[in-house]
Amino acid sequence: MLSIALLRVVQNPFRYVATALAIILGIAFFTATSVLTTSFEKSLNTSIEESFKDVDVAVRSTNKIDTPVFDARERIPASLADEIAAVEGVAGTFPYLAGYAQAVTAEGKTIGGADAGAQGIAWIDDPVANPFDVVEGRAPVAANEIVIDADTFESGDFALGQSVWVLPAPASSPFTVTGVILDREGSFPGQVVSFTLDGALAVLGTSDVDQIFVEADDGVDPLVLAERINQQFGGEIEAVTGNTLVSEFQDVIGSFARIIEIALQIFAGVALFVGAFVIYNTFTITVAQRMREMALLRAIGASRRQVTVSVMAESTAIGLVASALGAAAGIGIGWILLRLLSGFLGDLDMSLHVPTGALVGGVLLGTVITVAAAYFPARRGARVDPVQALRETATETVLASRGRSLAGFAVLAAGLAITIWAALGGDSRLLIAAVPLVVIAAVVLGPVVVRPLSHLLAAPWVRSGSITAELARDNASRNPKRTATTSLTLMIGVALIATATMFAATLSNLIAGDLDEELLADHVVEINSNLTFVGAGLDPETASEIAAIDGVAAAVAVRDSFAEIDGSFTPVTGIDTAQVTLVADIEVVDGTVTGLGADEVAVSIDTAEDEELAVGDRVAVRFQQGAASLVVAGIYDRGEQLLQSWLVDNAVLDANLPRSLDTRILIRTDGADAAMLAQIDEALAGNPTASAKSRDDYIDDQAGQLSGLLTLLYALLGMSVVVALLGIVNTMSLSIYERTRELGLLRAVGMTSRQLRRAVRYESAIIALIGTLAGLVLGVFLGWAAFDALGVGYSDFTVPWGSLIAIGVAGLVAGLLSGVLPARRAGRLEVLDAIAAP
Amino acid sequence: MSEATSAAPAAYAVGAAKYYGSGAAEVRALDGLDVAFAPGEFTAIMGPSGSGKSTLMHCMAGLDTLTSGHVYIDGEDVSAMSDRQRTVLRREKLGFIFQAFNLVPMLNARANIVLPQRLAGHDPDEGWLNEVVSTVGLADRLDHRPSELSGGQQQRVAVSRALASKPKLVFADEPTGNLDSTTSNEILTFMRQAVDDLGQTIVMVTHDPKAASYADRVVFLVDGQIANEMRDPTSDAVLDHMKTLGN
Ligand SMILES: Nc1ncnc2c1ncn2[C@@H]1O[C@H](COP(=O)(O)OP(=O)(O)OP(=O)(O)O)[C@@H](O)[C@H]1O
Ligand SMILES: [Mg+2]
Repeated sequence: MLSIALLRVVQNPFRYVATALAIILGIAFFTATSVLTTSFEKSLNTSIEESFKDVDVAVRSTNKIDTPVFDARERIPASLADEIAAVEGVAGTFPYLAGYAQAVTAEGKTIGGADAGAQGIAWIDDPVANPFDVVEGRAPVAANEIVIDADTFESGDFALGQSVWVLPAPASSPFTVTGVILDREGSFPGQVVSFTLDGALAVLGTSDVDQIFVEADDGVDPLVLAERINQQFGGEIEAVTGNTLVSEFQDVIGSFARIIEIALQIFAGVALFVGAFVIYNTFTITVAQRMREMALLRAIGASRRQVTVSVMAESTAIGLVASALGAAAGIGIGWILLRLLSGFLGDLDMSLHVPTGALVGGVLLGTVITVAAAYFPARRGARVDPVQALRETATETVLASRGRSLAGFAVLAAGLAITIWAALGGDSRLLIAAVPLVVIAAVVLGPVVVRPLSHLLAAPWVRSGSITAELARDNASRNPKRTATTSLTLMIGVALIATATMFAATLSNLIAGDLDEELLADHVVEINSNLTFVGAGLDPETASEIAAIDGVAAAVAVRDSFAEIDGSFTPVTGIDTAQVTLVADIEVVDGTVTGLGADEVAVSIDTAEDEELAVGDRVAVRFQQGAASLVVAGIYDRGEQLLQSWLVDNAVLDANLPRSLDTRILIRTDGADAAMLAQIDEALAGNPTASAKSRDDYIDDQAGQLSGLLTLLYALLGMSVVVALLGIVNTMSLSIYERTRELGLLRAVGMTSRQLRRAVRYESAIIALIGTLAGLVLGVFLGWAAFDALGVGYSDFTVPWGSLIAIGVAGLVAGLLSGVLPARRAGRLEVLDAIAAP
Repeated sequence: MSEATSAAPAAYAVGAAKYYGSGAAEVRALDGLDVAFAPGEFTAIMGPSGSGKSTLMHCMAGLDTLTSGHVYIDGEDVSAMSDRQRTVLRREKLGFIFQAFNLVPMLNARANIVLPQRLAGHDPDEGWLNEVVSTVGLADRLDHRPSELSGGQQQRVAVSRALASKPKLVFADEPTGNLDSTTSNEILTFMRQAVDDLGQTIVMVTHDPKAASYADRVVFLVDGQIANEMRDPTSDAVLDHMKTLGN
């Protein structure tokens, strides 16, 4: 029996191409995520170990804020270095300081866009402790000298001896390039400018440093030395060993890698789930086509078990081979993604690590999914009556049973009831129960609705008198179960895409709507950099200059910052509160938001309710450089979109940040004309990344920020859609094989090869359209339910009709394209051979 | 039938040859034969198994191409036609009846009958259709699918389809091969009627002398060549002749 199973695969490999591809794609995706994240993690871990291997002890502040991406630790006085140097057992101290700094090219531009990485670092005068080597020129020795990393040096077309403007310093105090540097371990991605310590302190506007690296005397245990320093200084200063530093970093990288891995594997899981349906379908069809063979085997004495086992052996062989191919492909894809990621992170040095566990896991997973998906068709095949061997097995219409409809509609009703109830009651946990019910209903009802749906969808073509459309329609509905399972695979991906599209559209609209209400300014200045949290920003002078322009009623500086409140990372917005109401239509519920003092804060009403705050209460706030106890001076309702939930005067940030720069300027004019805009631009000359936008452009930009995320989601969900389309190609090919004789007959009585190809493409399009439409309906439904449960009112819910129609059209086109290959095969059939087919 | 034979033939083949394989394995399914079918005549083709009957029919009908020689249908050279032209020729000018599997399973009887016309984009002639259908006795079965019809009923649908488009020529390859004698007689009577009453031209391959006796003329094929032919055949005459062919 086993040899029969294997013979089947070997003799008919092409029938399994689409099935194998479905597994290969899913497993490749799955393996690639592991390869990518493991390589990312391992490479960074190694380079961090290397970078810190010469650091015996690091001295730093105990105060820090855990932001989602990094630890924002308070800085410590640079002068501490000399005091530590005096501790017994210390061989040397190396102050470390880093912050936002970016060299401006001779053309007056910065390199890269908003997500370019750029940092300024204090040069460490020790070839071992300094992770950088000078590869050309010399290290900086005067406060106005810099060295630039090799990549930036080249792409910015800089030259040794050139006088260069470095942000955030003003153009009027340039630096001289004395050298080109390269980091040995490749752990500093992006643009790097290195100054002398004095230079760095001046540019970053501080007298403090991030940490002080300590080299121990020979024979002194770093642990002992750290303990000694801790005893001597204590308080808010702590000394940790280099090993601790490394493991802290590695923990951060590890958890970041895990998050990415899990997120990606969810999408790989969806693709595999869809792939399972494709496999199930393939085996259902091939088993049906082989019923006679199976009946014959049973007639000559094979037991049911043996028949089942033979199909399972077949699926195991396919699953193993395809999964192994998938895992191999996954390594390749992982490598490509790694290169892309490395490039995205500013040429971070990363090498390929292939986790054996993930490889073995991938092969096992793919095989198990294949075998599991083939199990039910195999059992059905084994139940065949031996006498069927003698009967002509007609591939006739299999109608959906009445019981199926009843059951399906009952489950659907239950799912809908729960969803509506959850939506009205706002309990999102209940939705989790409703989602599977609705999906089950779709699975059960699929075969019931295939016939009416194909009639509906083909109606326009059929009405125009197209016999090919009529044949396509009848073929699509002659085996409703097969068509339904094929469509269902597409439905899953489309539903998720539709939900994501709805989410993005609704959020965008909410953002745009809120901003439109809140923003009184008619122009907004922004800087084109994501590094505002580490010091990128506009000199406060800029706002004053703009305010002085004729016709400008107000130019109000905003500083988007963060703090730790109630133990968690919280965005805090600084603004010139004396003028806030000129540019923001804030609705004050209690107290005031105007003219806040250096110890005052205003909070949004939602936050006030969550934190149980009232006007007059005190809140402990930890900023990046210092903690403050602030009094709640006001509570506001409208204004959260523009100014977030915690609002302070810029003076508060001045007192508690290493250096506080403006990140936005909200400008209100008495009517802007070209001359005024030119003057504003002139005022912005102090920062090449700054630009003024009209109110509408600003709102559009803010509302459009989700589009990048949406594109990423499309790409990740696209994999499931590709697998589903393969499923359509697969079903169509198998159906054509099954109908060979009938196609021969059609050709004999006068169907042209072209008509036949068209009929196949139409059928494929009908299947794809059913899946796409079902997916769109399900996606809109789930999106709506989720939103309502999350508390977004029904009226705020946006249905992006344009995008949904575009998805529908894409489904139609993809369906037509999926039919091209099977259609070509059908069109090439020799009429006589086809008629003579068994 | 003398007036029929003198008119231009509905179809004829000149030097028709069809070879399969090459060298020692070469099979001459048709070995350069000439044959003509007069309009309004019912011809039966007989001969031992493997003598080339089906091959001749397929090549005449544009389902297959000759190795050499020419086939003319209604004056047009089929051998020179493209696949598409031959397909159009089949649906415009020819009708077909195979031994089995004549019908598209998911179409009902009526849809099967009008299929060639629908494929050609023509509207079926309802009057003619009703006449054909009622003559074959299918009027009350038109909404049934092939799986709901008996073998004989299915062949009647096939005959109706072959006649529905008023073709120049109907080809039938053992149309009664799978049927019992009563049903066979019904089908053959109907085909005979189509020739007598409607002037239809029919070429039918058969192994059955009884079936051949319905024809105006029998052509005997042996080894891809015409061995003999007989006019106004009777079952007994055909049977006797076949014995001489050593079947
Ligand atoms: N596709 C093919 N390849 C090779 N040889 C073929 C092919 N088709 C037919 N032949 C050969 O050509 C010869 C004629 O075949 P054909 O089918 O025309 O016979 P037939 O007279 O219809 O026989 P039967 O009465 O059994 O149907 C046979 O020897 C057959 O083996
Ligand atoms: Mg034959």
